[in-house]
Amino acid sequence: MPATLRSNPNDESFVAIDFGTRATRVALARGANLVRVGELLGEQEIPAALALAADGGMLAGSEAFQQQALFPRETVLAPKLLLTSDPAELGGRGDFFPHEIDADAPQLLRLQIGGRLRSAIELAGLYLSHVRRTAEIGLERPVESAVLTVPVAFTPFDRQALRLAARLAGFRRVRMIDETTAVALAWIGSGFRGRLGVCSWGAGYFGVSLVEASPELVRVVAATGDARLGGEQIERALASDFLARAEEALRGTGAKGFEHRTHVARHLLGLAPGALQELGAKGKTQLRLHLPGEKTPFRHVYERAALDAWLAPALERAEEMIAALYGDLGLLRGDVDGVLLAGGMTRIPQVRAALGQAFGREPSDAVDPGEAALRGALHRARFLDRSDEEAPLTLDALPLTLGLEGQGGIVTPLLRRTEMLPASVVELFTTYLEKQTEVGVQLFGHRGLGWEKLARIELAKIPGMKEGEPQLEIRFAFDEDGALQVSGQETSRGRPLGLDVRPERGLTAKQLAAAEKELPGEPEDGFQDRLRDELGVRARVQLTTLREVMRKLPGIMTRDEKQLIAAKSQELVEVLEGGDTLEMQTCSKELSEAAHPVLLRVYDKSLEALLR
Amino acid sequence: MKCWNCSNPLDELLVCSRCGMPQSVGVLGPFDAFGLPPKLRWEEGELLSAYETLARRCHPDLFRAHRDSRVLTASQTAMRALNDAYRTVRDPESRLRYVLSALGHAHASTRTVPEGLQDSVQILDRVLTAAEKAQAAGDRAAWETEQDHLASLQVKVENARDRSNQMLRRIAEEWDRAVATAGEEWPDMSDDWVDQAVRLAGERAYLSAVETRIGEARRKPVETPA
Repeated sequence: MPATLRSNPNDESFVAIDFGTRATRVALARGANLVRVGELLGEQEIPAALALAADGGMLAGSEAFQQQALFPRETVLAPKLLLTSDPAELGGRGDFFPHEIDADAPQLLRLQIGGRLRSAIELAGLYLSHVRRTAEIGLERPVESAVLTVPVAFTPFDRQALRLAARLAGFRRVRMIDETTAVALAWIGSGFRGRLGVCSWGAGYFGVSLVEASPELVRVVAATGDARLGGEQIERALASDFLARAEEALRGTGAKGFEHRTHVARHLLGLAPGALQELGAKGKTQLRLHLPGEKTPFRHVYERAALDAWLAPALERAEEMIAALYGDLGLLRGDVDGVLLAGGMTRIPQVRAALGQAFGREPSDAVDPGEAALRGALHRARFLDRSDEEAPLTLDALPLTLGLEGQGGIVTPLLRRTEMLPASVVELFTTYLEKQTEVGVQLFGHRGLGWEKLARIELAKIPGMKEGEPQLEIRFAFDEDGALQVSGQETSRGRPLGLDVRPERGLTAKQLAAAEKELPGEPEDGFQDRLRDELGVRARVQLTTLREVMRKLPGIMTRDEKQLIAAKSQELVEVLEGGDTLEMQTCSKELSEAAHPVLLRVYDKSLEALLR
Repeated sequence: MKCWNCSNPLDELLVCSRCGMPQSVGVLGPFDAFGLPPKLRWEEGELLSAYETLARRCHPDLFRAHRDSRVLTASQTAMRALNDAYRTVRDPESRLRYVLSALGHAHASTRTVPEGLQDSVQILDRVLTAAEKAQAAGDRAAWETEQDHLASLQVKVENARDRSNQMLRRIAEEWDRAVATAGEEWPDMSDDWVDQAVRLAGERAYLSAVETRIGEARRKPVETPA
């Protein structure tokens, strides 16, 4: 397959990236077929993990993921979630979020990691950079254009942050697609005409939308989402409940291990998704924790009732959001021709049933919950490349209703979530004091369940005039991806205004503009040189990692494994000296394959070994 | 006006019918964007389908792979203008607001209590405030007691909405007749028509606001644990 890819290099075409909370998948269209980048490199997906060492070393993807229990403080999981997380809430998670949070930046999440402070945007950028380079290795061509999935729950400012992260990662052209829209596109076959209810509910986010589809056009009628309903919350509930029970049971028995609570927590978080799946499917699951110094492991059996209790508030909220969506559009429950569900949460039978009830229609079972978003993103990628002339155009809706706070604290909608992107609106403001030079305006967002603060807009450098005289014209412009730009001027004297936007989370407009100036320029080296450098870096990281594993966990390899890995490492070292990129890639892949069983064991056994 | 790409005189404002290139037009009237007369009455779906036909010719996703970056920029401007135009005229109420503001009555949508509701305004506000308070406090019992009042008030609001719809039909008919006879120009309307239309727009603004508030006040409160 690499040969056919090389013979048809199309450097400009868009790749599809399903940027997930847990893992990311990349695919490319080859004619009407889907080529998965992971398959070219021997893995289905790229785990969403990033490890940063103080010496500047970085691991990402599966290597970072496999060793997370060894280095919990240095390994950040789910960089995407960090973009929408509240620093104070993360700080309250204790051992379940063992990173030092910068307290000086309540709006912008920053972690002290790898020897310095890094913002959520930087961390997401580093991870996406790994994703991009992995795609380049797999496809053997530059990858700079991407369609990126985004949860509906991302606010206009979260979308700006995500785009900046992608630009930091070296993507030059980025087009987003709402996860729910992608799920709809993946399902809509030729000839379908009607209205669909779509829900995408994964580890990180909940999103729903109503979509009108015809063979010529797909139109998102309205969409809504929640960034605090992800499955990860329920997993954390399970893990912390189990940890509390274990501590209670083992108190005073002399069990070691709780001084390494962070490691235990990370280990339990790793077990939680599988346990929840089993609980949903079989109605019962058992968790166990074997600590050194204990003859028998601590066990606890969870029954369906526990799952129901954890799910209840989330399901109630999900049902309300779906009801509000129908209500906003003047539709009745059940006014859809089909219901599509995707994302890990929708594999749980109770969730499926509740969503079917809320939509008022049985969900289709023709959707692969893990694949749909990637396939839909690929549809958009092919559309952008104009490689599929038959494909329908998709019109996206605003991610939320934008509102402005006026006198008396009453919020008035400016642009509703049923409007289509791109969209803009101009509002006039004035001063209420003589020679007032500054005015503040509060922006709100509405997703169907009340107004939430979005950002504060600060206008400055207003020319000194009588109260009520300045004509302050502020333009709110959404682009195709649902990101928001705010600009303004004083029109009676034609002066530009000083204007800053301070979102509830993320960068201010001024910080964003400064960061965009710093973006990497065109790389100077040719692609082959860069590919070679990247392969070299990855190979060296691979070698160091394996040495580190042997040092920390001396007993983890059998003699045969040790010999095989030593031989493959030696080959790789030699190829690094003078081999070509193909040889480097082959040797590195062989070493990965040899090390794979060992690294799997690292994930499982590292806790035990560490505490021994 | 000429197409920036092929210099052909434009017979449509958003996209050149000769070379198919989207146009970076500045401020334009919403009906001009569609090339349609400023009528208030349209068949269900008629404007939506005009909108969709244009969207399929000027959406930026059609031009993202174009080598000339000016094309993408033009399509973004054109699509934004199209969306803004469609928003302005998509429903009868927004069309009325637009027509009135174009006639120089920009503040026509200042909320005005409809005649049939004037006696109920105070009680409506009291019940809504009580229900909202109960919601905020997570007090389901207090919320329940307001629901019967709310339901009967909602019927009154619905009746006012029906009367307002009849009025809107009359106003719109008169306007559309005048548009048909005025040709290219905007019609001159009587002071009486303008007064009624301004009052109607204000009443509808009030109704929408109060309907939203009732809708939210009828949502069950989330009970806070004791």
